[in-house]
Amino acid sequence: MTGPSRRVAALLCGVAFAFAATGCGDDSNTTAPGEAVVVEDLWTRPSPPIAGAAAFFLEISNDGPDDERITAVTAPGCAETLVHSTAVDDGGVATMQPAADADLAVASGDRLVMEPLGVHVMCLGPEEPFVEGETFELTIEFEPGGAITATGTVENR
Amino acid sequence: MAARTVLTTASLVVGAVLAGIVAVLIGARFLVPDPWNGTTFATASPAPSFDGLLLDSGEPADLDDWDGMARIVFFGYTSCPDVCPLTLSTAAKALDDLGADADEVQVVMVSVDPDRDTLDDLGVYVRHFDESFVGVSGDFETVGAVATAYGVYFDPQEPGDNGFYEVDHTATLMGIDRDGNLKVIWSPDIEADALRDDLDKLLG
Repeated sequence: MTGPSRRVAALLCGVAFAFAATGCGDDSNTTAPGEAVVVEDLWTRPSPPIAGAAAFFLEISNDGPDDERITAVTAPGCAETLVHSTAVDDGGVATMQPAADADLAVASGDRLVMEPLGVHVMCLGPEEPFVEGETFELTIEFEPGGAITATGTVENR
Repeated sequence: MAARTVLTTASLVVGAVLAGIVAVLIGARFLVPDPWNGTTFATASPAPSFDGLLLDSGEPADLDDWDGMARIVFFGYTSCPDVCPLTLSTAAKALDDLGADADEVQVVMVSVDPDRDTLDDLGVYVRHFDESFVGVSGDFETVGAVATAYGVYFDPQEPGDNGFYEVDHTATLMGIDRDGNLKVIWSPDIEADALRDDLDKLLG
């Protein structure tokens, strides 16, 4: 699959959890419009071979009836995966911290954006470098909704 | 009738004031030189030296080796998941956009994690972003002295249960002109085209 079409696949790959999402292209992962939590625009940068960590960026929209909360994130090929937050102060000092509770909440009707220099999913100890044009998977567990596995792309944005 | 006259006069006054404000704003836009996208120093002063530090090749690092070129100095580390890849990627894109002039710019990343970053790893890391980038490191105290001279703060955090630790650090990019003077500082969220425009100015 080429880069652009892979990107489209990733965008379409946002899956809803009412039916225990397992992956893309499975019709059983869809729910009626307006009742879904969707993970989309999942991406990471190409990473150097010796990088000790990488960051995943994504958007989560919650059109479902319940307020949701991220309870865990897992990704194959990462020794550990966790939600982290970068903050840069007025002096340009960058600090990283585990995400605060507020960063993990996606209220009904809300949208959570994880982007550079903000909240992101951190992949510690990537086993292999992320190569531009390739894809990767991320599973996010929500409470009470359940797990969503989304496919992302490696892009030099 | 009198009320109408007052109203008309008031409208004219308000209109004149608004026109004046617009004129001042337009004038200011044309009179003030094109501002830098980064923050420039009022007085250019020589960039602090890299005394005691090593290039990722193992050779002594000397900022003067790149005299005649513009330089971007950035403090970062190879286990940095977010801000370092962002800034190095931005710098690489800006250099791409500069075309042939990119040969006149040297990007240097000084490790703020010298105990974990080997020189070899530093070289592999920075050249992932651009073949021309170089890494610089040294022992912790020497890096600390150079960082302080640049006004850079860094602070390795306590390792977690997994042994991994992050390093809080000043993540600005610092621009040095062809004569070796520290000229401009860019925020880590600078866009590549804005950085390219400033590099054009820095090259003169």
